[in-house]
Amino acid sequence: MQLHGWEAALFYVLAIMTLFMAVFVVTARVAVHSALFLISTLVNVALLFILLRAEFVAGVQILVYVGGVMVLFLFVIMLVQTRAEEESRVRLYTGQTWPAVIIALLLAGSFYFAMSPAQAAFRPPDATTAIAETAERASAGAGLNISKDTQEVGEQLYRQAALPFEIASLLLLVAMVGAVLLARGTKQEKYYE
Amino acid sequence: MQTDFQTIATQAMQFIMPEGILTLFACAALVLDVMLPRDRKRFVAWVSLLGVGLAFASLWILYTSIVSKGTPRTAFFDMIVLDSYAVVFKSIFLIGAALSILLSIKYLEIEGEQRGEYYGLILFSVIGMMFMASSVDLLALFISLELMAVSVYILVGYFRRDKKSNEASMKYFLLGAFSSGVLLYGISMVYGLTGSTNLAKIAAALPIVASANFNPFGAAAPPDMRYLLLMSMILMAAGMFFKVAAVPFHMWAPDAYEGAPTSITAFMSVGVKAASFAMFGRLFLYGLPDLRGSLAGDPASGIPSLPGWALLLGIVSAITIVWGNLGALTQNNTKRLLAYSSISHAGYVLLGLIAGNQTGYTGFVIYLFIYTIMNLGVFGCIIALRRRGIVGDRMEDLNGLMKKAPGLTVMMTIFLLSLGGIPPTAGFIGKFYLFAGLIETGNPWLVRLAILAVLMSVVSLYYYIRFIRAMYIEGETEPQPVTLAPSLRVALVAAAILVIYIGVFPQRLIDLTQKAATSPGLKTYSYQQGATKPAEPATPPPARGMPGERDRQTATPPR
Repeated sequence: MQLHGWEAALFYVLAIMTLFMAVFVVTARVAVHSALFLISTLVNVALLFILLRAEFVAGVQILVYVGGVMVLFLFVIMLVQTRAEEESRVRLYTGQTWPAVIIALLLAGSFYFAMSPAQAAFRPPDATTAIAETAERASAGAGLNISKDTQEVGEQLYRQAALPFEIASLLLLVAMVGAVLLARGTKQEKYYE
Repeated sequence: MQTDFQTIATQAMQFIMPEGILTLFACAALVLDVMLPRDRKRFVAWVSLLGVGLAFASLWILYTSIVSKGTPRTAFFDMIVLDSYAVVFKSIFLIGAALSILLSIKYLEIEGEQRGEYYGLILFSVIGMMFMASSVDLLALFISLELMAVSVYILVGYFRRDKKSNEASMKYFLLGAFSSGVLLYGISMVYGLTGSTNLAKIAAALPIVASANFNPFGAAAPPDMRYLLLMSMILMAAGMFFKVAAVPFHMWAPDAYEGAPTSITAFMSVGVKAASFAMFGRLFLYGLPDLRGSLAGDPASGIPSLPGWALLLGIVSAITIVWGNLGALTQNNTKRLLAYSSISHAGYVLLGLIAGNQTGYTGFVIYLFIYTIMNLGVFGCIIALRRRGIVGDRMEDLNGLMKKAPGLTVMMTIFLLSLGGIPPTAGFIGKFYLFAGLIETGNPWLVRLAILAVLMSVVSLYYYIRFIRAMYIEGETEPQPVTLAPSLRVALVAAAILVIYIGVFPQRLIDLTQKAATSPGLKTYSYQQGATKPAEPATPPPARGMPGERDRQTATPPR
């Protein structure tokens, strides 16, 4: 898929926004601010999905992450005392800021170096294909009130990716068991025994 | 005509039975834990052990009925493959899990942390490992890697009252999550460049994408994708180096190994390492075999040829072997010392991938098999030192062990000599294959690498002999007797017998691992696009230290 004109501009705006918001998630001292920046990151990513014409994935991203996961995050922040952490003057960064910046710049430089000889392959061959594709996709979903990507996601998820899907369910079970195991206090343990 | 659901259901019954059995028993362990009173929780361990045994039996049935006959079979829309490579690695994990469970029973009782979740999580991580060995799709590989890793993060922090355990778990988790991100970045780039997550399809697309005159969209000047391919290869390698604890991504290992419960240290030093190497082999031997040697350039238009992953792995393994062995010299905590020793062993195993010939690949598999048994044995001996009031992880705790527990001392000596690679033990067989693989290539740089590895394994003898000196020569420093619990005794004796048996009669294991090293494994796909054949790789400049030949026996021979 190639991006043209306004789409390309929108892509760059969204990508840069995503990056900056993600950095703010890490650097914000107040937990609620972190959570809000995270919401912003996730919404930006959802918009990127729309740009890729994956409307269903974008919808799921908003519903699950912003609607579900983030609400839970905010509940936890509300219940857990974060004030001490917010008001403390402990330095957020150790003396490794500059090495980190240098390594990040080196990485960015090497990506640029690796990308530039390959640039030619990423130039759009024909500006009309994207529009034709959009029209074709619109007609494919006409009358059914679903976009084609919903069907594609379903097929991928329950056919080709059936096995990873099942492994992922085990992964979630393990994460849940682990959360309970590590967060359970001694008092609760006594109570259940 | 079968529906997709029927296909999946029959394949699930047929191909992933061992994993299915383990899942069942892992869930049973979680449920049993709630039902049993506090003093009966040990029962869960025996149930989990039964699960591992049944899984092993069903793996054996699979091997005799499917794998040993004819060509390997893929299942679940080419997500997993059942070949001898997968079967040998799966048996390594199951043996490792069974020994770890046996080592844990008494240890957890002493620590007062006997709970069913522990065994459930061990089984869950083994399921992840088994899928890592058999998956041939980046998606399935990554998810199963995460299943294994998340279970182990939790197990490392299993002693919640112990600050060290908490710290180790946190460090391991943060660095592990970061490395997974790096790995995923590499995976996403490979997917973008080749258009598939299936390793066989990636392997088929690579020669086309990596050729210097690849020009899909008819651009004026052909784009050079090789730099991007190398970049993604390096990112994937970095992620894997972290998981196997190779220098310079080893920082987490000593801390995590020291803080974790000793039984988990034993489990993660063998299980996680072997599984990560299984995935490493899948990714690099099956998925990226064409990035191995040098990537051919086009001298006519001034496009340079680029080095492949063999050079990267060579440098990393050399640093790992040197750094791991030197780091171990100065340690006084036995768990930390063995952490450094396991870092150096990761370096040795990498040699098998670098050699790239039959002997090297055999060494790669056989060494992991042997390493699992001998390392679990050593950790088992350290667990045996844990008794009332004594943690048992200092070098002094070994003092005068010969007088207190002669049987334990002899077994410990066997494991240590095997780790050092002394002839009558199994460790020698593994090292022999790894080094012989390098020397067979005849490349002067690889021979030098082999010489370095031999020299450093002599250095490693120094710190293994420190243990022996403490046990035999030093006088007793504390009078507490050492007694072996029955389960621990069974595990240690079994491991010691295996180490000696493999050392004296290695032929059966060699046959088995040679099959694993030659397994063709994968379907081959033909790619229509870009009809130009890739140019034969130019002979690499000798100064680069690149292996010249490109042995592709394990990697998708075109049929």
